[in-house]
Amino acid sequence: MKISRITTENGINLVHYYLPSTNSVTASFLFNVGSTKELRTQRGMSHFFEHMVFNGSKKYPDQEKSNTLLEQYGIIQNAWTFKNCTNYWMKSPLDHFKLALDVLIDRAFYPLLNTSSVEKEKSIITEEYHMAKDSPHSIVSREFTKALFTNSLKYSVLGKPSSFQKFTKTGLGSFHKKHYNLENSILWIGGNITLKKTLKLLQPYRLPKGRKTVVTRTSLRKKRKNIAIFKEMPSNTYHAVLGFSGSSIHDSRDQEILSLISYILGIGRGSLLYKSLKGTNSLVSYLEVDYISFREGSIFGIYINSEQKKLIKITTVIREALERIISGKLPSQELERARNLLLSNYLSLQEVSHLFGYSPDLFNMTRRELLTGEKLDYHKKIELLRSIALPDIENTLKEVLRKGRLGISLVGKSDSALKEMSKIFFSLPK
Amino acid sequence: MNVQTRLLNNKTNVILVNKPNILTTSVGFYAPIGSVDDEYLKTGTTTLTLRMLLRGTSKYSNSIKLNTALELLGAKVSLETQKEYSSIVLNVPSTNSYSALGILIDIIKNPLFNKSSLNKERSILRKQQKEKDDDPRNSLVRLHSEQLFKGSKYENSTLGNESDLKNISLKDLTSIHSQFFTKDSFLIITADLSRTDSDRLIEPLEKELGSLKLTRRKDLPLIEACKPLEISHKKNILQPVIAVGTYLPGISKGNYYQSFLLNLIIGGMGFSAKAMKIIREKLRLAYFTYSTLSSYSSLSSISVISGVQEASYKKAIMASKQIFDDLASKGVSREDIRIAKGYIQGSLDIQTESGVGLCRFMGTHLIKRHILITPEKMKREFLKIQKSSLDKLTSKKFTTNYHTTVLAKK
Repeated sequence: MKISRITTENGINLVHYYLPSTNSVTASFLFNVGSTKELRTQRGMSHFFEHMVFNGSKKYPDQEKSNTLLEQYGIIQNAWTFKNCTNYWMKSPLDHFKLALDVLIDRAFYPLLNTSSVEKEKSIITEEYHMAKDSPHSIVSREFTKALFTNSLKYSVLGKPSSFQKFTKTGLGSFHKKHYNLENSILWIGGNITLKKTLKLLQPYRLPKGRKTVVTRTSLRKKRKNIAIFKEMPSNTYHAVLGFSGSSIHDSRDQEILSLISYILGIGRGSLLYKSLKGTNSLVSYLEVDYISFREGSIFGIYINSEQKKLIKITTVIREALERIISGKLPSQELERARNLLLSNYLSLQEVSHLFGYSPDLFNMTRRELLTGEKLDYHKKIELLRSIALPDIENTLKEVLRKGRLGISLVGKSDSALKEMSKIFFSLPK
Repeated sequence: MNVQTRLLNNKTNVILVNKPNILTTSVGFYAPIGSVDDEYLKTGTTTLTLRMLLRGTSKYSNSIKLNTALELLGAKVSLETQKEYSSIVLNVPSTNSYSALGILIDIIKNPLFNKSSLNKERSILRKQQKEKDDDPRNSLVRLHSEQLFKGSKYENSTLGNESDLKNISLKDLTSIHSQFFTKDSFLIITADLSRTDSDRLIEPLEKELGSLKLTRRKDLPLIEACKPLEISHKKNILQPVIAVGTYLPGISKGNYYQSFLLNLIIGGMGFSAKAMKIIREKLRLAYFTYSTLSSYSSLSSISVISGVQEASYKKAIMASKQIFDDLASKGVSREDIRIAKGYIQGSLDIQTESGVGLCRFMGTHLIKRHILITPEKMKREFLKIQKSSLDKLTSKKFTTNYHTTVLAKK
């Protein structure tokens, strides 16, 4: 895989990666705007705007026609809003990439904002909001973020109907003008297309330059009390997240180490928690360890699903696994397994043109550059990953636990186990 | 892409697909055994048997040793149980393909079934059934499928019923495992064969699997369409979820490509599908709305699934039925056919660009339809479809068999 990072003559910040084995090309425009950048009256606006982008643009005014134009060639289109970036992407078969790129750029920079579309999206997003409120997994995850952060990270990306029902086309227009420009974005093109051909395709575009957002390093606030949150839901099972807040996306070494720790703990059937929660015991039906970093801090969460009577035992097992790492008792084989699996995932991802999602891959590297200004260097990342040793794992986790905040979020019928869970988890030695 | 078929001594097919420039090797083992093969009051046996494969083998005595050995090689194994077939797919960096293949063969051939592991896996499966039902969408899909296939072996979820799991014994697992090796079972390997030696891949397969005695697959049960019903289930949720479905001929009747295309047109191709254009964009009733096709040997079903506004869920049901009614009365438009054919050409390229994606794609078609087909050949098959053959599918019968399932507060 060959990666190039350049700014084109017409000012587009481009990340290009050439993957000759793929059948497609993906273009992904990342904008430095998300829920953490919203004012009180704008809660949910980044996400709302993301929906508006699909309602027609200057060159492609008819929404239905432009969708048909793309989908008649099998082009896949979608967008996601995160806490601090918004990502619009199209994945296209090789022959139709020029069209996909043109629609993507026109939609992101020249969307048509009309009142009837704004009203339509209010109804649709209300249903998206209801869908999230009915999902225990989504609730437990949102509450966990609220438990860990008091800063802007605690706000949900979707916002609330009481907030987004008030949005107008004028407000959305100002929001777009402020955040959607070349200085605030990175275009990411990958797949079976050469850099030369990519540059030729991009050459005709004259896009708004805008003002560069000053990248400031936001340190975590003074450590606050650990928090446990319970939400009652008439679910059959209990959904819980246990975890901690960590350092911000600026600390690239920490990011790699914490990604590796997520593999050591819970990614793969050979991971510490999989072995003890599902292998030797049958304590959980679901286990996921997720690590995601932002400018304002990061979230390390262990997501589980089980019965009420097993929650305390599960908490003890999770605590023991973390203790094992910070006490220097982790066998080197655990690190090797995690590292090999992570590197193997990188290889698999090079067989497809789009590497989206939260996994520690190229997408996250691009996001880091957008948020921190740190230039993307894939080879350095791999080198760093290969150089991580057991003491690095031990010391980083110790440091993160010492500075960060522990949190538990629980969803189910009763909170009777929460007190004991908190007692066990929050007394984790640091 | 180059495809070759090799036959092991016992006539097991090994399909080798050369995909240049990929960095990983994928090996899929497909067996024509699925949840319809579960015995009466023992639903979930096939799923449980598959899960038990990763609990230990003759060489790796427990799940920890087995999974650690795989993951030290960077290998990932995924298991899938469907109603009519099962699969085990390995994906590994090509540099470790020979070692990982050795472990995969051990998993397929020599699993250790012991009581303590069975109890653990049974308990996990039971919890998983309940957990899945916590999500209204999953719960609706399960209830809707039960309704469409009531009274047949296709009624149950592949995870089985909670009460049946306790009836499953070690003997049942062994019985399902013995049916893995049939005349229709096969292995499919995708790799860059200029860097991976195909003979070195075939050699251990021949040695370990080539002398196994192959059995004949039991005949699949015949399914008949059920009397149309409208059933509402109560759940304390903000957003009602609804499914409106009807039947299509089974795969054995030869309408596979037509059914697939019809599903794209109804709700399977993004914003251009009818469900999205009508239920979401025009009527503003839903955030998610799509259609799903369940293709089985003797009968298939197609359903529109949506999460809708509480006050207007009846309107959404009517709108879903109207989509089917319009297709029955007016036929499928040439424009929709053109868009769907174009969509499938591109999406097949995308779906099969990774080695593991290609392995799954070809493996699934071979096990379900007994046809070894490449994405390129399949594209040509789709292009041949005529409007008349789609109109035949959406005949009057298509609209007289609606099943409606609702999951809502009231």
